[in-house]
Amino acid sequence: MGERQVAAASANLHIDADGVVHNVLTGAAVDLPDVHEWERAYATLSGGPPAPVVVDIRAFTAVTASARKYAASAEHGAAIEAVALIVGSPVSRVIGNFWLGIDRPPYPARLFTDPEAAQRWLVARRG
Amino acid sequence: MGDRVPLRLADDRVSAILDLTLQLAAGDLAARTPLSPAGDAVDAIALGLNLLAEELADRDAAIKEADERLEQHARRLEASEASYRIVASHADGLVVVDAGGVVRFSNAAAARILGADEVPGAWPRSLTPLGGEPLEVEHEAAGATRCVEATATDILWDELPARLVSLRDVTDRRRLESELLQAQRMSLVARLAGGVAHDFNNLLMAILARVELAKVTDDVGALREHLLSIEDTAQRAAGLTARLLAVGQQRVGQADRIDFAAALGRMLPLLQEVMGGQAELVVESGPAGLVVRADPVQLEQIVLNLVTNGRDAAPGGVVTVRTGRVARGTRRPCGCPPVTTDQDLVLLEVQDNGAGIPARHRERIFDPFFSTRGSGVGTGLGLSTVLGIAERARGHVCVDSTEGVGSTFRVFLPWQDGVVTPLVKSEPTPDVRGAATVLVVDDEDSVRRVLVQYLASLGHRVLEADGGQAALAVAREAGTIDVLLSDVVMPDLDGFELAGRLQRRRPEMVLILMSGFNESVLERRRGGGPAVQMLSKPFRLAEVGRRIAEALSRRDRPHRGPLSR
Repeated sequence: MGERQVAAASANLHIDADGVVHNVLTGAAVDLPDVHEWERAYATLSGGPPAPVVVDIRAFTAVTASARKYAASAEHGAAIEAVALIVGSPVSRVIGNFWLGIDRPPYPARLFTDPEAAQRWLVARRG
Repeated sequence: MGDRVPLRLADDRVSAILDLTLQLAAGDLAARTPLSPAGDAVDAIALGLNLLAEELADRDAAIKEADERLEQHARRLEASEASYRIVASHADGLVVVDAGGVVRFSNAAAARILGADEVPGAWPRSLTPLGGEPLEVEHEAAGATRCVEATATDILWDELPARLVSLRDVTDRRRLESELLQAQRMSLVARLAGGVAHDFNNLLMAILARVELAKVTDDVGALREHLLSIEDTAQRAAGLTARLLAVGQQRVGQADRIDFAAALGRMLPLLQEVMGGQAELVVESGPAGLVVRADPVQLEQIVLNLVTNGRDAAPGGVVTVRTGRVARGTRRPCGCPPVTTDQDLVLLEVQDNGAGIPARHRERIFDPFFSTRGSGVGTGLGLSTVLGIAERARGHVCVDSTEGVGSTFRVFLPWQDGVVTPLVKSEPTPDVRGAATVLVVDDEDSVRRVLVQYLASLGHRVLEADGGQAALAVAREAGTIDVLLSDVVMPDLDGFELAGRLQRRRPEMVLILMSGFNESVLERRRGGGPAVQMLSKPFRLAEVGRRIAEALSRRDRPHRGPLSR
């Protein structure tokens, strides 16, 4: 296992004792370079293997198309085991649903409003 | 669709959302609506619409790009089909053969040229050119032999090395070429025959005129002069036929060391006769010691041809013949390369003040059979003969000509050091008289009769026959025959065959064959025949007497070669 936490430009990331990476967005708008930075942070935190990730997008108000599509690509998926999206506001819900329904990531992904439920789902998936 | 009418609702945000939907419906996929800082449900609806609009725009762009790619594919496919139709319908056979010799593609013409319903799956090696050079083969197709030309190019077929073999039926082309060649030969023969007949008739005219004069004169001195003139003219006629024979065969004459000035002096009467009053002849002979190594007869030909050309080019004008020496390291007068000579040269210059040679003809004047004179006048061989003789003697010929001023031909021959071969050889005259039995065989009565008469006058016992079979009959009755003197080409049995049969009966018999054909023709005809001596027609009677006397004197010694002189 590598670093325990990473401060990115648009988010704070850390890994917990279950090996789940938590990506909590601090910026309201996300672009493609942000997603690239997250991807590097996932590898740093997990030490290399694909990690289960919780992405908290409740503070989300905007995301560019290129960021959205890259986040749903197989290339980005190589760093991810599964994603649990935490949504709250109506805007974050639209973004989350849109991403799942239209952009369709190739790895397991679900929306949650309860962070603990998200943690359980990810941990349960690992068996 | 009409103009969009903005809706006026109480809530501007809802109004903006509705406005966005109308813009999207109108096809403006770039339209978006701003979100408020509230991030409430209305903003969520606005965001959802923005995202859908974005997706719609992306998909629309993707569809347009796909359409464009599809259109490009269609254009390429169309071009490919056009190429295929060209290849498939091309008149040349086209076959793609892979590295294992398997045919991967062929067009209809390939099968047609090969005379088959379809091209065989395994390509025959006989139709595969090895390198880049075309291969021409005779191919049996549908019961007929066709001439097929195959060329091959290395290509990639399905990304693997292969050969594109191109086939062309050249049967008709070859036949036409053969017919054209034959027609050209016939034309050549006709032109040649016309020219030779003209020259020969002139010589015969001179001989007959002298005979007429000889018949009516009582003056022994005048008679002798007529006879000498007849002999000289006949020698020139012999030279003409020798020149004709030399055209088809690069005959190398007997090379002697000749003093050019002396040879020119000896030729003067002949040259004056050639001029025939048609032009004035001026000879400016150079210093003594202009020695070259050449066949004297061929040297004479050079001078005669150039002087004759000068005469014809300048009727009523002047033909000047000069000889001289060009020392090593000096400039050539003609300026031809090398400008400075690298050896001592003997120069023969023949200049006329005639019409000159048109520029368009200058590069062709040395071509065989090229003539600016009309059909039947000259053979077109004169200058090509001059060039051939000069080049065989390691010499060089060039011409300066100006239209309306005249032409100057220059022949350069390497100067030779050493002793000059006498022009008239002072060989000891052998005793040609004898008492041998000589069988003379010739189907030409006039030749046979004069030979019989001459040999009898030397004391020989002479038998005669007018053909090969007749000669065998005479030989059976005659007993010992010491010498066979026979023509080569005769209708029933040729001279070689006759000599072979007689030699089997009497191996020590001297065999001398006479012919007007050149040696290459005789070699083909001789095949594996017996060893014989050859005498080229025409020859002097004294030569026959000398040959027989010499042969009899060494009769017991073996011949050194199949054709010896």
